Amino acid sequence: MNNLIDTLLNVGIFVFIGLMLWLYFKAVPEKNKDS
Amino acid sequence: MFRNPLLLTALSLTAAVSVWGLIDTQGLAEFAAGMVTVTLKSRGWFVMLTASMMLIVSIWLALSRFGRIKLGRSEDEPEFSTFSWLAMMFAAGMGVGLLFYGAAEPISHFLFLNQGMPAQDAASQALFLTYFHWGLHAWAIYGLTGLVIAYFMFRRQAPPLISSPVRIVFGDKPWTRTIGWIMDLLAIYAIAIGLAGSIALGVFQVQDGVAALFNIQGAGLGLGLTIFAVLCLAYTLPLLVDLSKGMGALSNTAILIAISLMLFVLLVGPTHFFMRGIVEGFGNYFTHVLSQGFQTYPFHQEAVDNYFTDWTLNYMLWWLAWAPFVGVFIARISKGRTIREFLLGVLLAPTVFSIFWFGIFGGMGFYQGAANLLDKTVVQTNINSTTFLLLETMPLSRLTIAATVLAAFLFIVTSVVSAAYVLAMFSTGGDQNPPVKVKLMWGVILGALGLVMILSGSAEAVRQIIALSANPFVFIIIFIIMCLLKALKNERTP
Repeated sequence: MNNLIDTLLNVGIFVFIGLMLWLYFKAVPEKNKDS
Repeated sequence: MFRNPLLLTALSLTAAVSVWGLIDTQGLAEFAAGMVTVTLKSRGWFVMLTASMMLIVSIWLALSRFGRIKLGRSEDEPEFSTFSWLAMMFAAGMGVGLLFYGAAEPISHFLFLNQGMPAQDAASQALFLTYFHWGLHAWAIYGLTGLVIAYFMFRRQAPPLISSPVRIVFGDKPWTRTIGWIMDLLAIYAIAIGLAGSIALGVFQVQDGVAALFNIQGAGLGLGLTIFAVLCLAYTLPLLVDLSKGMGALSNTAILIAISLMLFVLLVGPTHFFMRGIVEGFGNYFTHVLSQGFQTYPFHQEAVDNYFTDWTLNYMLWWLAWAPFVGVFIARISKGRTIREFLLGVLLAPTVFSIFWFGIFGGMGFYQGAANLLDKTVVQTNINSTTFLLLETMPLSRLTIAATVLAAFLFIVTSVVSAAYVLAMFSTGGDQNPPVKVKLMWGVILGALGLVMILSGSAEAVRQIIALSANPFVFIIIFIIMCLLKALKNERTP
C-alpha cells in the first residue's frame, strides 16, 4: 500500500515537471507579451 | 464581504482546521505527523531539489543580464535606505524563530551527531547544519518568491497576489482563473497556518522566559494561555487603526533588542572563541553549501533519515509555507531596486547575519563543553528553554532573559498584524487597503489557530502542522517562478 502511494506521489511530481516544461516552451498569445 | 467566495472558502477552511484542533488537538497533531511522514518520505528529494534549484536560479538571475532590470519604472528610486530595507526584511523572515532556535538548534544537532562522531567534529557539523537551515536556501525561497511578486506588481502593474503571474503570462482564461483561485486559496491557508505556528512558538518561548524570570516551577498550560490572552489584546488594537508606521517602529525595536542581545553575549562571553567558531563556520558553510543542498541521505541508517526529515525537510517546507507572506512583504518594500540588488541583498545579508547569530548563541552552548553539561532531556523535550538555560550562565541574566521575552513578544505582535493585513489583501482580490473588519476577522482566525497549536503543547507538533499546510505550496512556487522566467524572455534589458 505504502509503495503504491509512494509511486503515485512520485508519478504526480514527474507529470508536474513535464507540465511546467510544456507551459514554459508553449507559445504565448501576442497580447500577453509586454515591454 | 460575504459575497466574496475566495474569502468565504478561505475563512471556512481555516476555521474548520481550528475547530478540529480545538475539539481533538491530539488527533490533528497525529494526522499531521502521519501525513507529513508519508509525503516527506516520497517527496523529500523533490523538496530539496526545489530549494537547491531556487538558489541556483537566484544566483543566475542576479548575475545575468536580467539583473539590470529595475523593479518599477526606470525613474523609480528605492523607498527605504539599504540598512532599514535589510533590517525589515530580516525581521519579517526570521523573527521569533531566531530567539527560539538560537542556542537550542546547534545543541540539538550536537547531541544527535555526538552519538556517532567525536565532540569536536559534532560541534562543527552542528553549526554547519544550523547555518544550512537558516542560510542561502531559506532566503532563496523567500527571495525568488518575493521577486516574482515584485516583478509582476511593479513592472506589469498586477495586483500583489500569488495568482497574478499566471493570469498575466497566460492571459485571462477559464483555466488561469480556476488555477489562480486555487493558488490564492492555498496561499492564504499556508500563511494562516504558518503564522499561527509562529504565534504558538512565540508563546512557548515567552512562557519559558517568564517562568525562568520569576522562578515558576512547572509552568504549564495556564501560564501559556494567560500570555496568549495578553498577546491577543496587544495585536487587536493595531488591527483596528492604521498603525503602519508604529508597527515599523515596533519591528525595529524587536530587531534592535535582538542585535543588542547578540552583541552582549559576544562581548561578555568568550569573544575570541565565538569569532574562531564564526570564521570556521563561514569557511565550512560556503565550501559545502551547494553539495549539502542536494544531500538526501538515501544510504544512511533510519535514525539519520528520520533526523533529516524532522529537521532539514521540515525547515525547507517551513520556509515554503512562509514564502507567500514574507515574499509579499519583501516585494512591497523593494520598489525601485534592480533584480541584482534585490537578490544579492536578500540572499547575502540575512545569511551572514544568521552565521553570526547562530555562531554566537550556538558557540555559547559549546564553550568549555557546555552542551554536555546541559540537561539533555531538557534540550530534547523542551527546546524553547535552552536559550534561557544558557543565558542564566551569564552575568545580568535577569535582564537578558527579560529582553528576550520582550523581543519575542514584539516579534509575534508585528508578525500577526502584518499577516492579518496580507491575508486580508489576498482574500479581497489584492486590495491594498483592505477593510478593517476583514483584517479583524483574520486576526480572530489566526488567534484561534494559534490557540490550537498552543493546546497541542509541543513545538514538534506545531512544525508538523506547518509542514502539512506547506505541502502543496512547493508546486505553486515552481509554477510562478516558471511564469517569471517566461515573462523575462520578452524583457529588453537595459
